[in-house]
Amino acid sequence: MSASRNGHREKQMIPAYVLGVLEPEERLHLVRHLEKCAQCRADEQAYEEVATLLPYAVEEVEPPPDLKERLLRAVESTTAPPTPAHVSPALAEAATHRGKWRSARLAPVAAFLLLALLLVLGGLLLWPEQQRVADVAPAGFSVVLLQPGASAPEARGVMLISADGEYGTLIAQNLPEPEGNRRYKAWLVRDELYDGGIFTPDDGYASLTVEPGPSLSTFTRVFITLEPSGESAAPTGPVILSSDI
Amino acid sequence: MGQQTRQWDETLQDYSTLKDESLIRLIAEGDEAALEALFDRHVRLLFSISVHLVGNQLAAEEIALDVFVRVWENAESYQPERAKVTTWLTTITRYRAIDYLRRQGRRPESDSVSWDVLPVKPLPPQNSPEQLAGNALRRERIRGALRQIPDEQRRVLLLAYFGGLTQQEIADRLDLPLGTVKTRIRLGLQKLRFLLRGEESPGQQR
Repeated sequence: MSASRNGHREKQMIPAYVLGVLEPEERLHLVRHLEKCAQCRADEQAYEEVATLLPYAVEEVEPPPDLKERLLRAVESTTAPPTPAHVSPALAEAATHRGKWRSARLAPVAAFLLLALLLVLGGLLLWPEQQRVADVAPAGFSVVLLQPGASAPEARGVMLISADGEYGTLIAQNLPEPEGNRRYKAWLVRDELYDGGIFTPDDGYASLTVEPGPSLSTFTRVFITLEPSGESAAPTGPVILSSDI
Repeated sequence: MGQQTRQWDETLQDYSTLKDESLIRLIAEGDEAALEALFDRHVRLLFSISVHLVGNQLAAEEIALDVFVRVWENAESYQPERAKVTTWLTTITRYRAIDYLRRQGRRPESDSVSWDVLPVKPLPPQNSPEQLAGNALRRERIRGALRQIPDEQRRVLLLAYFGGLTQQEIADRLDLPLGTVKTRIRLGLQKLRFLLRGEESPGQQR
């Protein structure tokens, strides 16, 4: 999809963009255009203002009086507000109890998700502003941006977590080609260490669906290491990408 | 008890003068009173959007609760340079409601997202009279603007904003060419932009 010479076509796409109804490829195209076109960014802001007002036209319905009490009970039962505890790979490695293993598998829903996202995210991960990934993630998905470790500063990664936390899709780019039998491995941490699955990148690119069993929202950290083999029961190699969840 | 309640109310009174963004910062630091203040300010809007979308009071309560629990858990992820707090909250609410409908195997029906025939209910005196008057005026201005755009444009705007449908899905549902849907969305929002110029959402004016 090439940009029109004067940006006229992009300008016409902005109303649909702020309403969230562009197709993924169109949205990616426009997000990229907005990066470099100040006039369209100003237009986007103005339309965003209008879209923000739309919910106010809805007839107000009085919520039940006990709703606030229920909220306070709910937040008191969480360990909140969580500033996610940083669990270092070393600490994770020291975890004596290993979580139940679930080999990575491509659930049908995740396969669908991947199809929808590969085109969009494929190029996007190379952008300096990774936050833009959140702009093109499907509705209801949380986006976790992974930070590269010192041994692979060019690596880029993101994990998309489904709304119910049941599964996540890890997508990584610019991964160094593993030598010999070495394999990439994803790990998840909460009170114990979980094996997120083994994978081999293709031309530096990899995607992996992770279904640890417990909801992903209960995990505190995700990281990817390069292991001597796929059999590692705990991380031993360098951390390639990592993030708190 | 009476004294304790009064003290509590005074605390909330202080918070009620803070901007949304400041409340979010306090919530990120674990301030429950800030969460209460944000709840008081926005719960009716978010609950109303949920009821409007899912058409089920109990589900709408769960959605509204879930939105505020998410705010409590993820306040530090809010980025003020990217969206206003109200936009952030209403977007989470819309997505949660649309998720709920998808899990139920339902889509918002076009009728359930029509507001122009609904009467405006007087609001119970929970907020200040100024706020109530401001909200009612704003609602009337927005509804008035929506009434001024052509029916066919309003319909696609409603499906786009509240229906969680893409342009292609709207075209399929209404049996229209995709180009027509795109044009109606563009023209409809352009006209609303013109009609609502100068209008601000609450939380920005504090």
